[in-house]
Amino acid sequence: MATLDSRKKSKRDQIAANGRVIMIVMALIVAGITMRLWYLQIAQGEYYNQKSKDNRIRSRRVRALRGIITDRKGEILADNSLAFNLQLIPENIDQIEEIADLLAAQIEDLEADSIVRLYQKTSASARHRPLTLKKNLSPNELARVEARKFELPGILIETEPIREYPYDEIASHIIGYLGFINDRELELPAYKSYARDDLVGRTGIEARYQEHLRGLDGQRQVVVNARGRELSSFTVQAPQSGKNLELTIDIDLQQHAFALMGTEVGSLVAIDPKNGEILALVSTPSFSNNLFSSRISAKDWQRINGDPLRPLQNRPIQGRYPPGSVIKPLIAAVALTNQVITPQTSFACSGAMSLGNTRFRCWNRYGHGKVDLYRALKESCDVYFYNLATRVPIDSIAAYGARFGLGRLSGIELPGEKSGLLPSSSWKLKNVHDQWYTGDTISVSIGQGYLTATPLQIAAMYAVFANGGTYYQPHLIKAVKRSLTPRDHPDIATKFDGTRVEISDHHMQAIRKGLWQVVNDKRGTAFKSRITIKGWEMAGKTGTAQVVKQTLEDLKEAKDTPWRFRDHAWFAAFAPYDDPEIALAVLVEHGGHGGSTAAPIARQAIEFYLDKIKRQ
Amino acid sequence: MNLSKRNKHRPHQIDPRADAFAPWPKNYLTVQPLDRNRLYDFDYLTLGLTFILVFLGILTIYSATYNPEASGWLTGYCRRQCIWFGIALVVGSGLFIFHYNFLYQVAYPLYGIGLLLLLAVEVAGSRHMGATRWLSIGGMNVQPSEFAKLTVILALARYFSDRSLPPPYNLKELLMPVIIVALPTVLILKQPDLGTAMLIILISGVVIFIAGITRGTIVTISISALTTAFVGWHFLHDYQRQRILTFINPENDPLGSGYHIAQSKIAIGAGKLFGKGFLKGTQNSLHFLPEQHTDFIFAAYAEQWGFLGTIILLALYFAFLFRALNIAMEARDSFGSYLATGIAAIFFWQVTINIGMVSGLMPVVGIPLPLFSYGGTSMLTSLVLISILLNIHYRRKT
Repeated sequence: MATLDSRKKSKRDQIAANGRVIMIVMALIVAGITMRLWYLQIAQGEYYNQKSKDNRIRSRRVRALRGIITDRKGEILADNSLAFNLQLIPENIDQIEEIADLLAAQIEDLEADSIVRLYQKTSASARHRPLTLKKNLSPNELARVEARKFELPGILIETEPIREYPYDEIASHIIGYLGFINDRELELPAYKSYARDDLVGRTGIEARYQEHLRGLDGQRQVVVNARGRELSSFTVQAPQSGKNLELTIDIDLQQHAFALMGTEVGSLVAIDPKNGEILALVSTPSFSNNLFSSRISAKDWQRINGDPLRPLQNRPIQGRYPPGSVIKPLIAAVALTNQVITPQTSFACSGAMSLGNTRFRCWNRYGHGKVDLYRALKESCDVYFYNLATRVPIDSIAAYGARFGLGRLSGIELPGEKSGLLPSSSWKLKNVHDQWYTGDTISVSIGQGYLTATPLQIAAMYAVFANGGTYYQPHLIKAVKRSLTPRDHPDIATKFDGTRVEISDHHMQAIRKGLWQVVNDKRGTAFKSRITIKGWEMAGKTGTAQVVKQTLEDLKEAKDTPWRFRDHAWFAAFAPYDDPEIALAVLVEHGGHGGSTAAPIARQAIEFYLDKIKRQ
Repeated sequence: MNLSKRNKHRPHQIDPRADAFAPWPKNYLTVQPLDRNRLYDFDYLTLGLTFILVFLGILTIYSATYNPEASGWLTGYCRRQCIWFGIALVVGSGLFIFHYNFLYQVAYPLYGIGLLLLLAVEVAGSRHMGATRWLSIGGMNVQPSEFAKLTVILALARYFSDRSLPPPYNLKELLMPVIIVALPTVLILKQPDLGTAMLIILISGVVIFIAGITRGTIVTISISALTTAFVGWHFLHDYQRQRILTFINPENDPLGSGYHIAQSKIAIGAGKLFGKGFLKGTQNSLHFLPEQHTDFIFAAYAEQWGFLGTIILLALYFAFLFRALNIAMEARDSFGSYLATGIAAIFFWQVTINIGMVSGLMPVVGIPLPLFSYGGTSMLTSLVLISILLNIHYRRKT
C-alpha cells in the first residue's frame, strides 16, 4: 500500500527480527546469572561452605560444678543442688490472659498483669525462646504447676544448678554467698575468663576462694537450627569441677555457739590453740545466704541491708571494739618481760589513781587495797594496771602486742578483715598530731583509749596464753581437695608454723595462773561461770568496754542505760587449763558486764566442745 | 454469522501485507478433538521440559521440607504439590481442546474483569503482612494481581494484532498499550506489591518490544523510566526501601532485613561444584533458609546439587524459553505470536527475578520460581500458560 513507510515491516518480519533480539538478550541475562552462580559456588564456595558450618555448629559452655565446702569433719557447708525455674514459651501460647491468671493464683509473687506485659513485649523473633517467670520454685509451687500441666500449655519447668547452704545463717559469714557477675566486672582483666550470667563469690570463703571453687567450664558443640533449637550435641571438653575446700570449722560447735548467742548482738571466735585453726566464727545477727543463690529479691535485700544491726557485717573480723579488761594479761606480760615488776610486786588500790590533775578511777570505787598480779587479774583491778602503764612505754606495748597479733591483719582467709588499732607514739604524732602522754598509756592499759581489737585478734591472743607462748596465724582452710573421696590426698594442706612470743616460762605461768583464778577463785570476776568438771578447768578474763565516757555521777546500773549506750561485754578464755584444746573470745555488744553476759556463753560453748572431743 | 461479520473487520484481512498470517479459522469457538494424524505437531519438547522441571521442583520441595522423624515420603508440602500438579495438568489439558483464538475474543472482557478484581481488592481486600493483595471469593483466597499478568498480555496481544498500521510504532501509537499496562500496574502498586507491578511492566515491555517500536521511542521510554524510578523512590514504602538498601549491602544488617539474602547466599555458595548431596543441605534442613520451599527453593536446590546442578537447571529453563520464543515466531497469526512472547516473558522474568533475588543480585520481592516453587496458584497458572503455549504451537498451521 502507498501508505506504507519504507521503514515499516510486515508483522511477521518484525516478530522474527525482534524475537531474535529477545533471545540474545535472554541468553545474555542467563549468562549473567550463571556468572553470579559461578562466583558464589566456585570462586567463593569454600568461604560460604565454612560459613554454613559455622552457622549450624555453636559452642556452648558446660558449666563446671562449683567446689563443695565442708567443715573439719566432712560435714557439707556449701553444696550444689537443683533449682526449678518457671518458664513460658510465648509461641506456644494462645490465651495468655487465662494462663497468666492461673499462674498468678498458683505462684507467690507473680502478677497476671506483669506476665501479660512480659509476653506482649517479646519481639516476634524471640517468641521461641523461654522467658523465665520465677526462679527457684518452692516444692509446693512446683507441685501445683506440675498438677496443672495440661491446663498450662507453653509453660515449662527448667532445672538449673544452684548453690545450697545447708546451715544457712549459722555459717553465712564464713561461707559467704554468690552473686551474678556484673557488666563492669566483665570488662576487667581479672574476669577475662568469665561470661555473663556467671555466679561469683561475693563474700566469705566463696569470694576468697573463687578461683579454686569455680572449676573449669567444659565445652559442648551443638548443632542448632535457625531458631537456635539444639538438634544434637557432643562434648568437646568435659567440665572440671571446682576444688573442694575443707574448713577448720567444727560445724557442731559453730551451730551450738550460734544458738548460745541467741538474740545477742556480737561475736564468738573459737580457736584451736595448738595450731591456730578456727573452730567457730559466729557473728550475730546473721542472714540467710541461701537467699542470694537465686537472684535476691529487692524486698529481702532491703530487709537485710537496711537492718540497723547490720547483719551483713562479719563482726569477729570486722568489728573493732575497745578490748577493755581482756587486754590486761598482755599489759602484765609486757611489764613482766620488761622486768618492771615481778608477779609478787604489789600496788595499793584506793579506788583511783591520780596523775597530774587527772584521777583515773578503778571500776571498784571503794578500792581493792594491796594488789599483786594474781589479784589484779582475778579482780580486774584497774589501778594495778595504771601503775604498770606509768612504768612501761607505749611503744614497748605496741611492739609486744603485735607479736600477739594485735593491730595488724591476722591473715584469715576472709575478705574485709579489719586490723584494729594498737597505738604507738609515732602513730599518735602522725594521726592525732600530738605527742603521747602517760594518760594515753593508762587508758590503753585497761583496754580503752585508742586501742581497738577484733574478737578474732583477742581469741588469737588468748590462744597464745593457752599454749604457753606460741602465736599461730588463725586460719579457716584445712585443706584444698580435688574430691570428697578419702583416698584423694589434699592438694594443699594448710599448716602454719607458730612464732614464739618473747616471754619467760615463769612469767607465762604466772599470767596463766592469774587467768585461772579469774574463773576458779571465789573472788574471781567470772567465778559464776567456772567449769566444775575435773580436768576441764577454764581460765579466762572478763572485760567490760565502755562505749561512751562515763563520769562517776551518771554511772548507773546497766538496766537503766539505753541499749546503745551500754558497755560491750567481753570474755576471753581457754580450756582445759592444763592442756588447752580451745581458746575462745566472746563479745556481746552492749551486753553490760563481761562476767555476767559473755562468760556464761563462753563456758557453755567450751563445755559443749570438750564434751564432743572427749566422746570421739 | 455474527462472527463472520466481525471477521471482516479483522485487521490482518484488511492489510494482508502488514500481517502475513493465516486467516482466522471459522470454527475457533468449537471444541476441536485432537487429530490422530497430527500428533507429530504436538510440542513434546516443551511438555518434556515442563515435566522435568516440575519433577525436580517436587524433589527439592521434598528435601526442603524433609523431616527424618515423619513417616512416609509423600507427605506435607510434597504431597500437596503433586496434587496441585495433577489438578493443573487436568485444567491445562482441558483448555488445550479449545482453539487459542477463543482468547482473542475474551481478551478485553478478561482485562476488564482483572481491573474490577484489582479495584475490589482496593475496597474489600484482606490485609496480610502489611499489604492488601488477597480477595476472598467463596472461601477461596484469590490474588488478582496474579490474574492481571495474563489479562494484560492478552489485551496487549489483541491490541497489537488489531493494528492495521505495520510496525514499528512510535510513541503516539503506543499510547493505548501504555494505558493498558498502566491501569493495573497503578492498582497493584497501591496494594502495595512492588514485585508484581515491576513484573507486569517488564513482561509488557517484552510484548511491546516484539510488536516493534522505533528507536526514538526506546530512548524516550528509557529516559522517562529512569526519571520515574528516581521520583518513585519517594513513594516507596519504608519496607520496600529497606529491602532495596539491604540489597545493596545485606551484610550491614545480617540479623535483620539482610538476613534472608545472606543465608540464601551461604546456602548457594556452600553447594560448591557438586553440592552437598540430596537431603544433605544443612542450611536448608536446619531452617536457616527463609521460605525454603517457596521463594527460596532455588537456594535449597543449589546447596544440594552445587554449580553443576544450577547450570543444568538454568539450561532447562533456557531451553524452555528458547522453545517458547520459537513457538511465538512460528505462530499462525500475530495474536498467537504476541501471546506466546508474553508467556515466554512471564517465565523469563520470574526465573530471572527469583534466582537474581536468592543469589543476592536483586531485592527480595517474593516472586516464586515457576514450576519449581511450592504453591498451588503458581503451579496452576504456569501450566495454564504452558497449555496456551502448546495450543499456539499445535494450531500453528490451522
